[in-house]
This record gives sequence, structure tokens and C-alpha cells, in this order.
Amino acid sequence: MVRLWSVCALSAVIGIGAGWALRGSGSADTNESATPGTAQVAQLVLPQPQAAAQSGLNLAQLHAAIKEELAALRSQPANERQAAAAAKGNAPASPELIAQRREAVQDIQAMILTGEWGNTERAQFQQKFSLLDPEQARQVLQQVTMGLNNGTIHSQIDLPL
Amino acid sequence: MNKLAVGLSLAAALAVQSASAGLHYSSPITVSGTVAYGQVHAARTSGDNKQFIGCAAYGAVNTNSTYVACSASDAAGHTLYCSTYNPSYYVWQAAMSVTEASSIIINADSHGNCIYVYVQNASTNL
Repeated sequence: MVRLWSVCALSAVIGIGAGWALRGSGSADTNESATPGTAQVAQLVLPQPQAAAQSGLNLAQLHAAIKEELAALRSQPANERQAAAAAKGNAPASPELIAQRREAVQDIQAMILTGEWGNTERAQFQQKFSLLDPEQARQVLQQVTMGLNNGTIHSQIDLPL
Repeated sequence: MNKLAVGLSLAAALAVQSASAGLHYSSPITVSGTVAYGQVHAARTSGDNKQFIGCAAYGAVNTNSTYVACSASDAAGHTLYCSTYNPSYYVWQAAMSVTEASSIIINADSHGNCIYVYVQNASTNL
């Protein structure tokens, strides 16, 4: 219980201090009306912006940088974010996996060339699709879809993908 | 006996009428260029044996690649297929919310990518 109160008190002190610091130079006017307790907190927290300034950054610059990062993330399409995340997290593919992927692409291309697409082709496509890297997967998906739309692939089923 | 049969028939007819009462719109499947729209129920109950509309979603435990695919066919046999590789959560949700009570609009780009999938579920579609 004591520990919980300590955490709450510490959070409150940090919050008040951060709020005070964010108010900038204009907050100096209110120091007179602040209670002795808050004045002490302000004294404890005020050096933080100075430390930031010493490191070459101020709060406005930090805010601008964070806003810029968030805007860039929002503007990036979801599939690009996923591909980038996957690329960052994935280890290089083994030669065996690369060979498997090459074979899977060839099999899908052969299926496309037959021009017929039914339940069997859909099942095989999905099985091989799971092996592919993101770019290969995107390409074969588009090839099949375009083939269905331009008539080079005749679908025997309502939902061929 | 005949009166009983007539009475039962009438009662059955009224019951059916009552069951299908309510505001209702019928929208058969239309495929026009890269846009397709219509009701699942209207397609299913059409007499032409050609109409359909629907969406599918793919996911597997051994890959990060997913897709959503939708397709439609109108009474004349015109078809539209679209797919989206690693779709956003919202496209996925829209595609997977399709039911018998759905009215769907599918829009594709020239590469067959689903630009958007609109799904409306309402009693009026049944």
C-alpha cells in the first residue's frame, strides 16, 4: 500500500513538473501564487529543459520531430509498413527456402498457364502462396487476379482466390 | 375436406406473407468495368444460375502474407475479380462481415487490386 502511494506521489510530482516545464517562460509569473510545495517541485523539474538545451534540443524541436515521425507513419500504406517490419525482423532466407520459393512461383505460373482455375488450383495456390516472400506473393496474387479479369484464366468457382 | 384444404392453404400463404413482410429492396448483381455491386440474397435467389458476389480472406500460421479477394458475376455472366495483398484491418473486417443480408460494393483498380470493399448488412437486403 505504501509502495502504491509512493508510486502515485512520484507520478504526480513528475506530471506536475512536466506540465510546469511545458508552460515555458510564461509560467514564471505564476510562481508567486504557487504553494511552497509546487515551487519546490518546479525547482526540481525546471533544470530538465536546460539539460535538453545543453544537448542541442528543446521541447519545441522534440515535439516537431515526434509529430513528423507520426505523420510519416500515418501516410505510409499498411502493406508497406508490414513489409518493412517483416524485412527488419526476418533473417535472410536459407538457400533451401529460396529454392522452395522459386519452385512455388514456377508451379503457380504453370497453373496460370493452364487457364483453368477450380478448387484444386485454389488449394494448391494457397499452399504455395504461404512459402513466398512478400514481393513474390504480391506479384502472383496480382497475376492470378489479372488473369481472371482479362479472361486468360477461366474460373470454375465463384471465389477462385 | 376441400374447405379444410383451402383453409390450410390460405393460412400457409398468409404465414409466408407475414414472414417476408417488411421493407425490402432487391438489388441483383451488376458488374460494370471495375465496379461490382449487389445483394448476396438477391444473387442467391436469382433464377439465372450465374449471379454471385462474395469475398474471401486468406491467412496462414507460417506466413505474414495475407490477402482478401472478392468476386462478382452478373446475370449476363460479366465477372469482376479483385484481391488485396496484406490488406488493412478495415478491408479485412469489411470482407469478413459479409452475410446473407449483405449488400456489397466492390471497386478494383486496373491491376485487379481491391480499392475498396463496402458491405452493408440490413434486413432490407433479405
